[in-house]
Amino acid sequence: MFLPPAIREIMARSTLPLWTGLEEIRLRLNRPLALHGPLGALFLNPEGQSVPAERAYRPTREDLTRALALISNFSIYAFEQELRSGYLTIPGGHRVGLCGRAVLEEGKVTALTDISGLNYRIAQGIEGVALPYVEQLVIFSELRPANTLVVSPPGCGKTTFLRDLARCLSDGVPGRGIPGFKVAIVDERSEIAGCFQGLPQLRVGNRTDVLDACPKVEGMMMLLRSMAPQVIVTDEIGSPEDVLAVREVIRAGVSLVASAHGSNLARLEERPQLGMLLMEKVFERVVLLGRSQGVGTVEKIFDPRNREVFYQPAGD
Amino acid sequence: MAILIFKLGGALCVMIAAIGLGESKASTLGRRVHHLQLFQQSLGLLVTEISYAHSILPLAFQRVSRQVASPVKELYSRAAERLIAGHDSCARLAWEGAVRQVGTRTCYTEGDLEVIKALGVSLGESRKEGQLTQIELTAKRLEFLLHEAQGDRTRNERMWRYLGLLGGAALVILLL
Repeated sequence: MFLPPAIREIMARSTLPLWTGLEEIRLRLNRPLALHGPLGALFLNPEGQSVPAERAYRPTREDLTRALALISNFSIYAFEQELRSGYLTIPGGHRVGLCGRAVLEEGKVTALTDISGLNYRIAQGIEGVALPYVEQLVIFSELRPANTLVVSPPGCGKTTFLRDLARCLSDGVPGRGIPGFKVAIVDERSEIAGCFQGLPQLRVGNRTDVLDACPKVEGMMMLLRSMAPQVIVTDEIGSPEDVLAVREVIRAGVSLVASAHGSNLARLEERPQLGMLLMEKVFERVVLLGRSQGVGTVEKIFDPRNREVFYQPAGD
Repeated sequence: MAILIFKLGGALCVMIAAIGLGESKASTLGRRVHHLQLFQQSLGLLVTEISYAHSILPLAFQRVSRQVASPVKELYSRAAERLIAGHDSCARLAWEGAVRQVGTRTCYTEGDLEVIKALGVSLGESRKEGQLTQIELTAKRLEFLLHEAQGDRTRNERMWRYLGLLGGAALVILLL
């Protein structure tokens, strides 16, 4: 529905199982139409057949204009902030990344014009990835979620893990003695809850409030003041301002679940801001994600304060 | 006697028809002013939706349509329907389609409809400032049309009424 008619028709004509596990649909002006999924990168011709790049359908300016009108609901003005950030979220929590010519004012991007590329990133909304590990991420003696840092290199499922953990903590896991907590998500890039017009498109739990498209630092303070959460969840911390906000959250007695880019603890400690937080023993659990058994494999769960390991697959 | 009654009846019918025609012409002038005022009012509402509520266009149209009277109400609701149905490739086409559908049932002149149609140019396709400038431009052109329509009304409303009455009377004299 949010694809331009020409592309929709091509995909409808195809006999390939394009939609199964589809990750990305890339529309680049006058360059081959490409789909990325379990079959790898596919280039489609107007009949929907997988062909070499030089014989593939090439999206036209009309296609891109039409796509932009559809994803913005004919209302570019209503998505200026998102366009400046280079993406739009559409119903279903899918995100459309945009490329074009940046318009600068005083060195800051104020708009994106002459759109030349769109990347439809299909939200998978995988559920259950965090469920096996929730017990390790709750301090049962105080009946509260542990201050947790989810760490992985890019593309290893940090956001998916965060979302599912938020859902588990929000709904609780009654069979394992974990009650539901009041969860608040600061979703700066609309990636965790995939909000469309303020409504989460992905399941984040029944006791979860989402502050969508709000800068992390400001958002954490706002939630602290207004929503009385028991847990605050946010993505990709690392700036000096983030550190101040994290300290504030912890001091307020609210648990924090956050993510950060990194491949191991040593690398994290090298990063000035995160290293400082680890030195201050702010985090009680670190979840390391990797790809050893496929994207999103939980490689290790440990307490960074004393290196106590709570989970590590056998053989490691 | 019967012929006289028949003639008087006929004369009465002619008079009523002529007066009705004059009245209809006169009221069209008044309704044009009213319809232009309604559209002017709707532009203010549209500015609020775009500027403050940041509503997407189909929603903005629906909200405006709920707050204005007919026929402008139908204009916005039809445009919203067309956008939601997704048959038109851009907001301009949806707006122009709605103007075509609803315009024939209004008292707008061709010139009025052109100005209303021009609102659709770049509708939803630019940043907020661009949208507001476009609406402001339409409002200015509308102000001019409204002034003209009010002048027309002042000058011609009474004339059409008298013309209906006197035309009817003249016709009756001729026929009798």
